[in-house]
Amino acid sequence: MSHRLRDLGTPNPRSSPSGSQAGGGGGGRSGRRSLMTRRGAAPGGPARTDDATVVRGARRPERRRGGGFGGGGGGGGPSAAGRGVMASVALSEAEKVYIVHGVQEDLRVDGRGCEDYRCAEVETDVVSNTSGSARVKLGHTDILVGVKAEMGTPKLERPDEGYLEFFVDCSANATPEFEGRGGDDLGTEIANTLYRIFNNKGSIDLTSLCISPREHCWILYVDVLLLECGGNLFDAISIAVKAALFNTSIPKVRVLEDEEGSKDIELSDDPYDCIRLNVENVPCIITLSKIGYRHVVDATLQEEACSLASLLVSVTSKGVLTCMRKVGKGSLDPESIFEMMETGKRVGKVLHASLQTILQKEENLGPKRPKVGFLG
Amino acid sequence: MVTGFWLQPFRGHCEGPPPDRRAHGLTAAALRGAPTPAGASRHSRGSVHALGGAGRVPSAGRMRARVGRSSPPRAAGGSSAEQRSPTFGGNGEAPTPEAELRNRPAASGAAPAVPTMPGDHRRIRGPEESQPPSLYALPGQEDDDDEGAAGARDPARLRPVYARAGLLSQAKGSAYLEAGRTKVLCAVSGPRPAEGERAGAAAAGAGGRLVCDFRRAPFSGPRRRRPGGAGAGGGTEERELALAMQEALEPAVRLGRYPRAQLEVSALLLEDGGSALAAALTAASLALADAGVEMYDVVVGCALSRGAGPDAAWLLDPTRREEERAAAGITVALLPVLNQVAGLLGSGEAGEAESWAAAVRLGLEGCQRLYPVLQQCLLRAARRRGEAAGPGPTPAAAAARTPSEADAAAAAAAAAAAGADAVARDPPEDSEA
Repeated sequence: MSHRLRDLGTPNPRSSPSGSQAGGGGGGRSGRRSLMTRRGAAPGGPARTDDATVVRGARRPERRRGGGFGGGGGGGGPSAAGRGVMASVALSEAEKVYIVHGVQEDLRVDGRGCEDYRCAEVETDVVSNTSGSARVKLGHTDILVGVKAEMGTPKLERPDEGYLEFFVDCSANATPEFEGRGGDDLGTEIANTLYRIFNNKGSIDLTSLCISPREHCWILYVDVLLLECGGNLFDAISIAVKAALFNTSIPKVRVLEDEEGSKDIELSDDPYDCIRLNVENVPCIITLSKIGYRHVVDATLQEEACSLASLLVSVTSKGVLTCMRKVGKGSLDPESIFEMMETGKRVGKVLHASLQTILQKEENLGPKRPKVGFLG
Repeated sequence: MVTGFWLQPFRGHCEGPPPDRRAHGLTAAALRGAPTPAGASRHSRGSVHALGGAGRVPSAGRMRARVGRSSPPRAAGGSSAEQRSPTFGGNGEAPTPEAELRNRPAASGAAPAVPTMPGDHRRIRGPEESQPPSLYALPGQEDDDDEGAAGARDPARLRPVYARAGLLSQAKGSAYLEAGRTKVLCAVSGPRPAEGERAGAAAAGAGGRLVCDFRRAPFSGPRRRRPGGAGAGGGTEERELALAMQEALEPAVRLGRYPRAQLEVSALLLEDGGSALAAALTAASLALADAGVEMYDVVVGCALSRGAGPDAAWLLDPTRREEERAAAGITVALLPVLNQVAGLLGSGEAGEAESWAAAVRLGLEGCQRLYPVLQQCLLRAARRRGEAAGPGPTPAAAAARTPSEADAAAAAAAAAAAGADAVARDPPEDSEA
């Protein structure tokens, strides 16, 4: 298994899926209560990062290669985190050597293999003021996404489609470096990446967001809040965005045209009369960090400090790549890029499958799902 | 262009049909662009010149065009051009339609062929935002003026590249790169002490900082861009490309040699003819090398795009039209001697990972083919600088060193230009200073 999106929640036996999806198209927002995937206290679950201070004595430290060129001359240099703004930790040389050697042996500090994800907790419908929302915890990374649908005018070049707007807010709660305008650069970077991964026709059916061509469409404002940074922001954000879009329900509207040709938009009386988005092809980002000769998925902050370059790919559930980007100040070997793409595709497919299962399960629990929210 | 509006009415006036009939005939002539008799054109040129002296020609010309009827200038045709021009020049006012109505002699009011009301251009406002009609041209109908028809071209063709380093005198290093219609100007300044609130963070790290700026000129595309990025997503796109530049250049620069310092790279895209980021990357690395910044290798960028459809092919070095039609695009940056990928940025609908891998391969190959051109450009810049510095011990040594390498590079460039895939690999010429 290359990831653990574990489902340890205890489904309430009384809340069978029967009631929630009775009327076709029913099961609106409040009718969708969900199971959450709780991280268990099982060994290997949460990232035990303090272990990194232990150095195995028998190993002779060797210089890292293959991770790329640059970055102050090879392996040295304390905590040369890729971007100045990214939350980073300071690691000693010994800690780095420990992590790099562990990765070489396919054994990471928290007991995972190179292609294993940390436990992810997903809970949808956590913010009542939104059309759809989700909160994702991936290790110590904590992301909250809210989707709000508002009516607007379609873009000139795409008259019969709605569109998505992304905004990423790096709250100072996550790290003090984000205070003031400190998080702006990172926020813009993440938002741009999100635009990129949705920058194709297949990801989401934008024509379903159109109300009347050239005049009205739905704009989905996807607002991402970083509550805590524990490494691998991009992946966690993309999972949260997908979960929030899955959760999104947009009220149905009809366009009525009178004899003079003027148009009226009529909102359905039934609050449960909603359209749901098809998120089957919404991609998830897989970040592959190059550490030593190998690459790992879902790097913790400590591992990110050891990596000079990573490749970010966005993969749909069918294994189609929609975006590729090199991140970080190092360079990558062409061959390792091709390997990383293959890994990304493989890992991405499994991630999508389990995310879909979890979301479906949560939805099927119906309205009586015990909510955890921000206390859990 | 302006004279087009002016010459026609005045020419008609000089030819001398009666004032009232002139209106329609002239408009038609102006529309048809009828050839001008030599004498008439001389005369009219004189009148335009007189008006030009008052500095009003462009505004007046535009106003006529907006009013839409050519009547006001012709209505004034009863008086001669020689009489008119001092009027405008003398009182120094913009010639408003009202003013021209006042100037109209009573005789021309006898049989008005056109409505006498002038268009009230102040009340009839154009839309806030307007788009040139060429943007709405159907695909395939546009004149494929840029670099030949896109129908059948070699997917691996690179447009001819012109590069020149060291052209700005004030910058530490600079480069200008032209690939097809894409024109980029790049300048490097620094190293200077790191500033800003993140200076502390930079000091904590081992090396210096590389600060990149990417800017599009307002006239770089068919649509004017509002400077400062106030347009729809304009600013964020520039920031994204600046970040991509920074991430692609950082592996090449030995930042460890510049502790607590920052290097500033700014790229200005003068004209976007496609593959803008790739051209900016290449130009930036040339400018860095020209500035004498210590580098491991130069960075060469290449862009690719892929049309819609499952069996579309990846096209190397796309033009702007090809980029507009593309469903997917990617830019790769290579350190050619070390054979390391410095940057990668792409998105779109290109299907499976294999297709992307093929694109990366094709892009890297394109980068390798571009490399000799950059070598040559840097050599030339170094030689120019040596000549400018005059005879001395250092330039002499440089001159003694360069000829053989220059020949090798020239040979390699010639081979690349001939379309040969095999390119002689020379030792890196990046930090020639």
